[in-house]
Amino acid sequence: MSYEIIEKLKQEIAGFKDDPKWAEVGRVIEVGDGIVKIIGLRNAVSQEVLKIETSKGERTALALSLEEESIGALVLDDFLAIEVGDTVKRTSDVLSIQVGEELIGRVIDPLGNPQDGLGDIFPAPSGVEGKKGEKVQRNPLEARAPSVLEREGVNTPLHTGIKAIDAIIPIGRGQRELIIGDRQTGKTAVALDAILNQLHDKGRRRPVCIYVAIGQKESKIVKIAETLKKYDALEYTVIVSASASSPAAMWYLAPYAGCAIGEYFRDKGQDALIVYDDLSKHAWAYRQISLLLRRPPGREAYPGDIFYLHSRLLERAAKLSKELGGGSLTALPIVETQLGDVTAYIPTNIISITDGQIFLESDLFSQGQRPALNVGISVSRVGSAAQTKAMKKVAGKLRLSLAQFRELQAFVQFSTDVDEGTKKKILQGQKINEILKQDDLVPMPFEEQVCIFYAVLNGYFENVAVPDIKSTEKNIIEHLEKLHEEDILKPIRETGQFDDVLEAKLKGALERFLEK
Amino acid sequence: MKYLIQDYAKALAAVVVEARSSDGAMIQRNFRSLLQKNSDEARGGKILEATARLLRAKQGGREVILESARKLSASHRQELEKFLRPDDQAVERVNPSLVAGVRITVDGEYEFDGSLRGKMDKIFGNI
Repeated sequence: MSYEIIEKLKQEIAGFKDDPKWAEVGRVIEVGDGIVKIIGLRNAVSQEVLKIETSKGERTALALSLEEESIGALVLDDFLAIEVGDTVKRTSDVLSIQVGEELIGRVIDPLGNPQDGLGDIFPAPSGVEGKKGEKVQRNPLEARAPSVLEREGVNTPLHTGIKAIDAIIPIGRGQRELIIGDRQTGKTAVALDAILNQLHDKGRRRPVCIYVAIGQKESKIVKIAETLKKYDALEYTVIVSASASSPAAMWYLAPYAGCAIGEYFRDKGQDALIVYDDLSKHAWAYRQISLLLRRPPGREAYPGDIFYLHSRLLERAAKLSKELGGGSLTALPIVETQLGDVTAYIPTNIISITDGQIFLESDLFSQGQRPALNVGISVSRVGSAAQTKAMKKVAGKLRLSLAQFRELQAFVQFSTDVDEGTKKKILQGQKINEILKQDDLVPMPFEEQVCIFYAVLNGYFENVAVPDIKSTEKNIIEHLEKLHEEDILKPIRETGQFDDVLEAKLKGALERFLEK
Repeated sequence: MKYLIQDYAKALAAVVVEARSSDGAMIQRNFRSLLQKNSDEARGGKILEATARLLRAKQGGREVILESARKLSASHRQELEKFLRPDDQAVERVNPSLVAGVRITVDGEYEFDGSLRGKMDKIFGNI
């Protein structure tokens, strides 16, 4: 070990080229809670990386507030070593992260440092050949979102494997779909299922998934990494971790770092899916930083640019035009509400930025409806354009049946004396609700969803009691997988169509199943 | 309204340039009472520094700090003085932490680090 150290030192000394130059310098005039105030450095630019020379070595900071007399900077390392009077130098670089295929399967912090104990991610320095023969590159954390001309409409589905979402609130590649709900309502579970399902969605290109943990407990992040590994989903996933114990600076930077990684794959013509878990904590971190920088507080003490903080981040999720490779970055931001209040500042902001929201309710969760999705107020503004024809064919009828059921459900609570037709509709609604229930970590491939929805909407569950719905559903799936993989499931999966021929085949298969 | 240090400095520098030599005490007194009135006494030191910098700049001069590990010899001083302008205000400081060589700072905003300490930091910072 000591031999290696001596060799490294020898190499550094032998290769050192002395080239002293005049440098622009500033001085630290104030330090506190991860924030420093600096005088001097009149030509520094916003988001520039600054180097602070302390008695314990060099520390890195990020220029955030450029004021007339001073610069407010965010310390990215240990700020306890910084003292008033320390020299600060410019680097002329904006904050960036090294990106590449090597990141897949790794857990990193927002600055790109490995957190999983598996050693260096990029063995070769930036700009030289990476391990897969591609040039590795650095992407800035703050980048311009694609313009109108660089985009195209969302047209490819991103199946989550969750029946209620894929049928009623479909998500397209390049969309921003908010997952919103109180604590303990299964927000992360929905996002995790979406990641896991990419392994089963074989009809389309598999997206690279990025899970950004902002202010989450270390134990939760470990659990998520283990779950992804267990289900072989870590093979196409990157985890960006800014845990609860990391400073506010890391919480603030984590979504931008994740987005920069997602953009690398998007710009290469690949698809990427990014989960921001969660943006409420991100807003808290930015509020803390802004208050320490003495920016004027606004509503709920958030700074004036809190909307822009999230809009500029989420605008980077896009479906690129064919000329630019046709890649996409789909964003699933998560927001935690307090007592279901979606009218709070941050939830309303993000609802207005995104292309729809998946609303999870604690009441539904405690009633045993999992996922606890409120179908009535959840929407997807652009996803239906990306839905496969097969799903569209069955989902239209599903929405209608559910809407009728919701109307009648309220009525039934007051009167038990209802006619046969109404009773039938209520029973049908209850069965659909049962079908929409799904355990977490068991996403269902979309072709199987199509078959199940077809069966329930066309009376094949008529003689099945509500408590037996789940077991019957399981048996139908097993029957189809065993006997009709080639003639029914595979064509739906590969073509996304559900034409009359396939419908007739499915009808026959379901009838044969019922006969048994 | 909170005045900027730079605004105070510009005003004070303009008054100093226009004043007669006998007005010194009066300017000092008035400046102190202005700071008291605006509750800006704590910023007085920085305002004076900024004013001195402005006055120096007006005459084409700069504040140059020459730091060396040991006291400069006459020949070294002569060598360094070649880089100074006639109106520059040079300050010499001995800073043993530099180990060897010199470090020059101009107006607190530009630095030339020719010290051994700086070189060592660069070498070992890469490891």
